[in-house]
Amino acid sequence: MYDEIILDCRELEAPEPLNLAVANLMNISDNKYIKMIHRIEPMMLFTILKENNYGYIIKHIQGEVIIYIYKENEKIKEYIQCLQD
Amino acid sequence: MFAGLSLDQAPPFRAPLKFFLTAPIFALISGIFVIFNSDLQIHSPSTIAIVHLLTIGFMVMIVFGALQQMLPVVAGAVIPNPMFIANTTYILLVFGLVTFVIGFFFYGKLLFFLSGFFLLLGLCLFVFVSIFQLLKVKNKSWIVLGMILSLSFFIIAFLVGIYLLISHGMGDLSSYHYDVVSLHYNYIFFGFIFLLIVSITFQVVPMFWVTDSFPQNQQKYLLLLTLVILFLYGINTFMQFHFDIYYKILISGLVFYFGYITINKLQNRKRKLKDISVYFYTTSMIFLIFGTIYWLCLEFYDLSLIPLGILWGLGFVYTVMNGMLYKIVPFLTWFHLSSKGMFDIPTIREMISIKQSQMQFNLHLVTVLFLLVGFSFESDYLIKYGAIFFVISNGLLFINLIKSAKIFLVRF
Repeated sequence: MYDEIILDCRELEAPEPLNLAVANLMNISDNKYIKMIHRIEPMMLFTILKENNYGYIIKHIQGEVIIYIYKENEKIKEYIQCLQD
Repeated sequence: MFAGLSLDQAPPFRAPLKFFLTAPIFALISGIFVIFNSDLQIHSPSTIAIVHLLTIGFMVMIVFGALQQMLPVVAGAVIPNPMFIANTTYILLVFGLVTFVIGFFFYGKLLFFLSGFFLLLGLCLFVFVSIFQLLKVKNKSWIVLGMILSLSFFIIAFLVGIYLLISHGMGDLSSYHYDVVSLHYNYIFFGFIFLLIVSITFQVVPMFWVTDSFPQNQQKYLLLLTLVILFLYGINTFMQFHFDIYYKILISGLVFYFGYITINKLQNRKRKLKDISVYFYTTSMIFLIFGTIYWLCLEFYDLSLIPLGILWGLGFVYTVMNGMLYKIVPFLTWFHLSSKGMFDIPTIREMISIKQSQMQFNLHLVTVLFLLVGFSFESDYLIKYGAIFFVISNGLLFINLIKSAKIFLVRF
């Protein structure tokens, strides 16, 4: 099983969501990922994640954006893709 | 916080900063010209010079600075060789604008050609690089498409502007000259500025002021309908159909709708903290709506065009950009310091004092009201006072922005 760090950014203004996400990157591992709940797609964060070899999956659910951030790893990626939100 | 992370994709702070800090200086100079100028008729050479100090010197400067920063935020795209592109564009814009202004003040025809050359190079270089980067984005959002449309209208309007400039240079004004001038104004205002502000609003209002995002359908229809209406207006102008009134009614409907949904979003934001940039944004939408009502009235009453320029130019465009600067510059200061591993820095709310920005907001509002009443009732006294307030307001804007930027500049 995997552990989840939930970051609810729905009521945070820029740059707090970016701040929070980046500060939590050091807390994720092969068994732990971040689930970020946001109003919009944080494009700058995506660029930072790509540049630093983190994977992410975006899901749009009922007007909200859910971003899963993980350390590049096929198993965890498959697990997140199968998650029912 | 960002220790060990690569942030090379963000353009260097100095690239957009020079545009943001130069803009209030050009606006301030335009205010000084108004104070000492007696000929402020709508198509007089000195008015054209003053208007372009604001449109190119302030507005285009802000747009180009903001685009350098918005591309990574909205599209994950970055302008390549950012310092080279920023410096070249900046120098060409400054030379182009200075020769333009001197050219119109002294009606020096050689200067028209020189300014046309510098502006053509500078504007085209930046716009083509930006469009190219935006076109490369996979899965383009409506925001990205809106920015592409806006920049495309800018190119069309700019080429029309060059044609007008050459007509002045050759002393050959055709019988259609003022129809073409009208097309230039409409494509700059609705095609470039309005579409760009609409697109950027869809991005920054939810991002900076914690509101729900704008629904996709709302984004799509606002952008596409504006495009179709402007396209038909272009045909109307070239074919001399004289359907201008229908064009005005249709596009006004879109403007009212955009103003309403934006004010509504800002009023219903989730964190109702005191924020002067919200005052700027809301006020700009109110001026947009009043300006559009005035524009419609011009069809039925014999009114001066100058109050329209003040309502739309200063009231709407200038105000919204002024408000955005209070968010963008502190955000960039914070971002670039954080990315360099600096932790002991003020929050973005602390970088520019609310008292100072409130004072500048008040000055700006008084400026718009004085100029509006002054030009409406042809009171030189009110116009000169309005211009003095404008000069002070821009001086204060510059000081407020430099305070934030200095937090970064003194360290690096």
